[in-house]
Amino acid sequence: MSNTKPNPEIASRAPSTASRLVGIDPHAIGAAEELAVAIRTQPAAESLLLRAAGAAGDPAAPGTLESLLAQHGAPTVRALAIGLELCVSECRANAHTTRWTRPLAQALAARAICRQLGFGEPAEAFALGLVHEFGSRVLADWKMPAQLVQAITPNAAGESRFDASEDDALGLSRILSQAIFLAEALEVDAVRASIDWARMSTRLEAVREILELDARRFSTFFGGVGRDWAEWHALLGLPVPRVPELEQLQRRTGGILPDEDVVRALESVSTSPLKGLRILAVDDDPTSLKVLERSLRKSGHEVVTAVNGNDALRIALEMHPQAVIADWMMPEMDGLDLCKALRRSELGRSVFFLLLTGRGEEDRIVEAFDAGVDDYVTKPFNSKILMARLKGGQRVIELQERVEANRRVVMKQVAEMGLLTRKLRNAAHTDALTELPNRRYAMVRLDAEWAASRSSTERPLSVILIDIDNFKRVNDTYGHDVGDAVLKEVAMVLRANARHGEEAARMGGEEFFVVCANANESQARIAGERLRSAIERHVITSLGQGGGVTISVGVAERTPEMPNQDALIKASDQAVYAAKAAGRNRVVALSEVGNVAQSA
Amino acid sequence: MNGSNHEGAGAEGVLDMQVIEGLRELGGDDDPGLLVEVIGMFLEDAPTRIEEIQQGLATGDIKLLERAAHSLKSASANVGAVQLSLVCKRIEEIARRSTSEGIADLIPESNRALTEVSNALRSIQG
Repeated sequence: MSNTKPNPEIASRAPSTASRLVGIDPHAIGAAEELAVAIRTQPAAESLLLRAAGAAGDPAAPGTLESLLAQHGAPTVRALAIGLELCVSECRANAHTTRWTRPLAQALAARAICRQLGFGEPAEAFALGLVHEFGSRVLADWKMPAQLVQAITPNAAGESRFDASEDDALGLSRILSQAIFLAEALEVDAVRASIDWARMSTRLEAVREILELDARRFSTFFGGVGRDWAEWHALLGLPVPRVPELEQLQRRTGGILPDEDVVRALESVSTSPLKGLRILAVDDDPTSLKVLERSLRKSGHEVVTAVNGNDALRIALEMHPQAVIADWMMPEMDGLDLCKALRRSELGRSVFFLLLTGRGEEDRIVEAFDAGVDDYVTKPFNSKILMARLKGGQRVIELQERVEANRRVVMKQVAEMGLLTRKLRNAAHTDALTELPNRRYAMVRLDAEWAASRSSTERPLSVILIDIDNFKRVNDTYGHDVGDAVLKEVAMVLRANARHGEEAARMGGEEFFVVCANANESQARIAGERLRSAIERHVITSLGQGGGVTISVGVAERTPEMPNQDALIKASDQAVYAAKAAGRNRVVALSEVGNVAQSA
Repeated sequence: MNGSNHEGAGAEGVLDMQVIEGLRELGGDDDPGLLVEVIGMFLEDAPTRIEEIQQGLATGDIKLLERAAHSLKSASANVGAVQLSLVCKRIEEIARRSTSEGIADLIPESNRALTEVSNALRSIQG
């Protein structure tokens, strides 16, 4: 794949815009303005940047280069701009280049994963996906943001270190590795010859688990990334690649081995030479055991023998055989008891168990299968038949070992990623000072409730916006430490008095927000009043004896006329404003705004 | 086990020579002693089994009887002692029904078969 990798040397012979961008110190004063000027020298660069950073059709995404710079900061925008400029200039020079096919897939996948997990900045993930193949040294030379450089620095992803400073880099690094798996799957048509389907299956399954999506949603997710990928090709004037469907891939990769793949795997194994198995042979008759042992060894298997069931069980637990071939009739522990005992152990559950039966025992074979026997051969056995049966068993053994290995890899990745995402998700969704959910979380909740409310006429949605009265005066009088203590106390009281379905979050500053699921305006108003009076009654000792604060509360319910969540928040903001205007320490609902204003 | 292989005198009359050839083949070049080794094992083991069958019959230990007959059935089949294996099978089947009825009648036959087989095997052992 080295021929499709972007060439690090591009930087030195890069078109003027890219080298100009690289030359801008992202931390210098005026970097943002300088970046904007440099970016605008390329006609399409601004719109590509905005598209890369924001979701298509996301009204909250920045609409101009300046707002993009304000939201993400100069270092991230610069990284994104450098990556895009390198890509665009090369595509312009060669309309059939495939160099950026993979980085684009990785960038779009990383951005989508980032959004799905609700962790990190999608714009940053996009930039990382686009430029990571240049390597950490080159990116450091280019003064790329530290978290991007660290994310691809060896070791950053290797060990699970969770100290706060590295969380960003580690999170990005994990996102990138999942994005690489998705990109591989997207590119399947281009590199079909060398694809390891089993590995791809494992990886896709790991990504699905990490994203916590069911099969259908994962398929939609994958399709979305694929569509973006094709769109970007069109946008850059490149030949549009065919986007594979996930279901189609899974049929190839077999997911975790559905029937079709088992059949295919069986076919491939049956044509491959028979490899030696570790076999435990058990028979109480020494001549039979000798003949069996010799037959197995001659076929290239490794054999250990036991002359009764008890010895066999003990040896099996020590040597971990892949197959056990045992005589049925044995003194003390017979073949069936041995099989049952093995099946009860973790180790013996996957062992291939072949039972040797005497003539006349065939009528009891159902009993043997019930005990967990995989296959049987009648004695005296024909060596060729025994080996053929064993070969069949070997396919089962190999498949089982592959499935087990796959499962372990998936579980390990999921466990690691799960721990990380939970941690990051909590961090990303929690306000550090008050430990209430933060604005980001409140918006996620609001989005979810908005969707639920919009799809059901019987599920009203209201929000409560809360602003601490005269908070500036608290800060000015007592200092910021006391101000912080007040915020914490208010948060505590809000949390304690919020009921089921009312989720309080800190929006920022002295502003709090409560999403009231399934509540109309008058119900939310009652909740608002409950919170207001609780705050009013609460004594904050750091404000002196009998000290305390009050809050102004604005309540608004979603109406069909509101185009989006922002409109609802704005409405609650209007209500808070009315409450302040009417003298503070009160609750005003949106429907009362006119009256209050008149009476005030 | 094929009747056509039972023609001729000596070993060929008592043993299924296909089984003997099979053992010789199984040993091959890297374990040419296998046939002799297996025959040795049989000759050492078989009398004990016959004794166990008789002991089981005398003491009414049907379980011992069944197990011994089963083992000897397998062992004799491994060296091509078809007739002995069949007698043992009949003994085993009776014993499996938790009875010893009729087994005593089969003992002389099994003894005779064992003697013949042992002689034939010893001639192969050389």
